Amino acid sequence: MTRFVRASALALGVVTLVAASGCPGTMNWTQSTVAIQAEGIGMQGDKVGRVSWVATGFWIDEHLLATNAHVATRALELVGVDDDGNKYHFDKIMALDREGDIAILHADRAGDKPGVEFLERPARPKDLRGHRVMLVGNSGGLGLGFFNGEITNILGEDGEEQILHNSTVVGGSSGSALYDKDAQKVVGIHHSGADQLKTRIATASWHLQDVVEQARKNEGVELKELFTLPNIAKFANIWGQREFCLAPGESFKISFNVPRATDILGFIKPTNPETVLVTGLVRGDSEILWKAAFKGAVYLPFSLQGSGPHNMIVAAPADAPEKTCGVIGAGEIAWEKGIK
Amino acid sequence: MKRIISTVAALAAVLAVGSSPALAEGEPSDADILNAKTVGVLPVLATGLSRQDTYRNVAAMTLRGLDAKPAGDGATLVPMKDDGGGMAFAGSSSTADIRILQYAFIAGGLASNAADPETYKKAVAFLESQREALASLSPALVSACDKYVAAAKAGRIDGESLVKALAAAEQGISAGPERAHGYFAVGIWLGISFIAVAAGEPDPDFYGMAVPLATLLEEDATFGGSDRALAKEVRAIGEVLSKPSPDLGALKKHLGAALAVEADAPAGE
Repeated sequence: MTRFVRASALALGVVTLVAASGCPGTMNWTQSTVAIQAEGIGMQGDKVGRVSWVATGFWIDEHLLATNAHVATRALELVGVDDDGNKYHFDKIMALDREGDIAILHADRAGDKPGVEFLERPARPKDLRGHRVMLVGNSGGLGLGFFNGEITNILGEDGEEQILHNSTVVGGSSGSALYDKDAQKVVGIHHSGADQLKTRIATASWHLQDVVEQARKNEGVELKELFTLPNIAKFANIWGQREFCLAPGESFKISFNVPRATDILGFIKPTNPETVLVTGLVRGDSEILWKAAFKGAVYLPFSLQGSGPHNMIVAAPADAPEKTCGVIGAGEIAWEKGIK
Repeated sequence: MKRIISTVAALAAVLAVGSSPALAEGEPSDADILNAKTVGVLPVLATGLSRQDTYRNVAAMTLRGLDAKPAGDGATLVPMKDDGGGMAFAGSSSTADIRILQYAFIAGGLASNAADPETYKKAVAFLESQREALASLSPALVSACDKYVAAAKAGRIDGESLVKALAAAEQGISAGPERAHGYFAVGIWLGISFIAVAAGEPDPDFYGMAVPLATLLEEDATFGGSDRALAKEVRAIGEVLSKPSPDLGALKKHLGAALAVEADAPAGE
């Protein structure tokens, strides 16, 4: 199965950084971009704590900044710094489009740099194949870098296109603008990579513009108002739930496949609150991401870091005294429901 | 000693859902999780923004595939006999289950017969004649099938109804009867795979359904025996559909293998 990997995961490896001098002299490629430092909530079942991450964003206009939905999600503080050291706080989220992995943020003060120009949707988007592109992104938290490549394919249609490109990127590039080098305009917003397809993926600029239009109509919501623990339950879309009855040594599992990094909520409600059960979240067939023993009803939020098949498992220990029944269910947290 | 959940205790309180969990003694081993015998599986076919949106994406994929005029000869893989025969696959299933699987596969793959009017007509007639095979399925699923067949009779493939049927089958696995809805979901997913290949591009929302379906067939106690062989082909088809340019030849090879899986021998033989 293809695994989409969040580009924000900090991975400082050997990368190809293309010098700014290799670009046309008339264009200041970094002027509209900020390196983002985020701090927010990370959820792993019984552990809900503070975590930090790095990413990229770019100005739409003097107050609005575009980045990825997975960058903004669960952030309580978002700080951006541009190439000249200008610093901004983004305290409001104006739009969240998880399908296109787009978030539109509102800055606490007017930006010092202009917004980007967008490439309009061509009559035949696939004609963009072969176009030279450059991604301007945060190099693993070390500031802005340039990453060259070309568009290899366009998937989807009807304005929902995804752009496949082969720019080499590093952790922190989530939310980077992908420029068409010849047009010197933004053709997409980079968000992830697909290992199996050996490609990087960006959402097309014309879809991004639709989200911006929506953002301009929205009132927005403070980060600290949106990403709260009560809202986990409030915004959970439950995929399904089912009764189980387990003899000692037996298990029940919810099998699901997430197409992108996703926040989920699992729950288990045994009929006998005194029975000890075990539970775990497993990626693929055998990679245990988290496990614990418990009694009584539990509600378990997770911030899944990648895509692919997962299993949420409840099991009765082999030495359990008797058969145990209950209900297990899971769903995902649709934070966008909280955008006003 | 691991405690569930210092934070979840607090979380449960703020979530205002249910009681806070009691503490449990001891951390489970990996074997407690991985080696326990699975007796039940809830396959989640649609995740994403919302179940509706994901199914809508799959419906959009079917429209792209239909526009590309799929030519998979789906019905020729399954001789359409009224008695549920003609399909080697049985797994641990009954004749009723086979008829459901057969119906769902023909329905899902109907578009692949559009290039051959005679076969198409025969396939539509088969779906009409086999409506009684749906007796154990949910009203929502039967309704989606009726709408789909009515459109097919008028010469139109109704992709929306096809995907609604898949969604209703998924809900039916939870609500029961699990086996009947499970076979329907597998059958229609296999049939739609022709359209997915014709769409020409991998659709994560669709090929991502392969693993949950295969897990259901492999591990749920309601299924068993030869269902595992079918599951292997479902996984393989999921792989085919995840490639940059899904290959019809590879798909047909695995579909042929899936439909050739033989029934388990009766116990005691």
